[in-house]
Amino acid sequence: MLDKLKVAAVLVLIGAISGFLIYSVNNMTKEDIQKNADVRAEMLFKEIFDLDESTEIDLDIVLLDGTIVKQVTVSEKGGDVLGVVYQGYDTNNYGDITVLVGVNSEGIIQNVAISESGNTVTFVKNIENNYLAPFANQDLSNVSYDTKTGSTYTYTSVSKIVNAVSVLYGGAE
Amino acid sequence: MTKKENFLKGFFKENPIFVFLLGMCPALAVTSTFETALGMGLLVIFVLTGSNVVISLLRKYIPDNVRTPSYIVIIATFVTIVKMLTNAYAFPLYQSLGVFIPLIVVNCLILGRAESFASKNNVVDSAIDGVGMGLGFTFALVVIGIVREMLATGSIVYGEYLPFFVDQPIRLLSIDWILHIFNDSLNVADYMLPMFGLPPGAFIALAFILAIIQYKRVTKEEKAEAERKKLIAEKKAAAMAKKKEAAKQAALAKQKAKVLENGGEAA
Repeated sequence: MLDKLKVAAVLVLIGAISGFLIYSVNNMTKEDIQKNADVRAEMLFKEIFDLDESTEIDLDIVLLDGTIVKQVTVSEKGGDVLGVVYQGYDTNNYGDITVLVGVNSEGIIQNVAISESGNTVTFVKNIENNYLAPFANQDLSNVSYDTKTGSTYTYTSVSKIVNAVSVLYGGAE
Repeated sequence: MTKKENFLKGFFKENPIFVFLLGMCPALAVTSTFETALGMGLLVIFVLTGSNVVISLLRKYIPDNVRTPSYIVIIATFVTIVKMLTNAYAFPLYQSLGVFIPLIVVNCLILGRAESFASKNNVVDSAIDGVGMGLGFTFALVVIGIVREMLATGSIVYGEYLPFFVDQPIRLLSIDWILHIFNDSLNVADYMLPMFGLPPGAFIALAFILAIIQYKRVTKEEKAEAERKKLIAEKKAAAMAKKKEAAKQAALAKQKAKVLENGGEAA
């Protein structure tokens, strides 16, 4: 009995020390992590709407439920609305993936980008380099997907999110 | 084993990748460029040293029947810490390594060193082992990274992912100049093998490197064996010569004694 208690006490101690260390480092780094995520998101928004890095933008964020978790209206600082970026989230067999779909005011897809991913890096790079560009300039009401060469888990998740945006945009209309 | 031997053993004699073939997942997956290989190596050094030190400190208190889960919790703690630090302070590296940072937890090198070294040795030796083995692992990753990047792009770039020492990416090495001898307008990237930047290239590059190391090792062993045989043959020949000389001396002495004996009888 005493032996079992000793084992339990050691495991609790190891767990407590681990938890404390992780908590401390999380406290120390969370602001920088959030800052990095914001900078990356802003950079992606600019990329989606073909803006220079130096261009200042305003973001109007609306949180949603479902596959599409965020709707961000992007406009030039003090200027016209450029369009809307929908942030979608999916989980496939290789992990989580977050995709941004930029849509202009006429319902045409401006660009699609993968903002975060736990999928295999090589496959994600392949999808980014070869399979996201064909989404650009497609009408959201009639999007065509690559169902032959792009049939990876990553591309399937991207397609699912683009489709969810299409449904949401159609519904909103 | 001295502290120096303990530190240096991970580089060549007990190199985790080239000798023990441990930690092959990152060795194949993140060595497409020199910089990602170096980044992964630095993270592994941190995790390996930290987990070795903590496991060595707690080795007398961790019950034998739960040692493996305990080691994994300790290693996972360091991996979580390193993941958060990379995400905060080396964001491009965090993005380029992706899922391979959390996968450090299942790197057999780290659990292997915890089980075979840190759980049996004191803190200082365990720390030295962690740093030495980590540097040996990094050295192997960097060698594979350099070979792959050089073959895939014809140059080695630094500063894209690691935020140390430079503000802009710089070319550490390039073979542009060889092409420029013939024609200034030629671009080296057009004449390289992009396959080496992809997963199959990792296997092929590693196979070539291991084959060269194996060739060197076998040649060295054969040379040592030949020298040993030569030494044995020389010793054998010397012993035979000595034996012959002794037999000759004995025969001469016998003859002398016989002559003396015959002389005595005649007298």
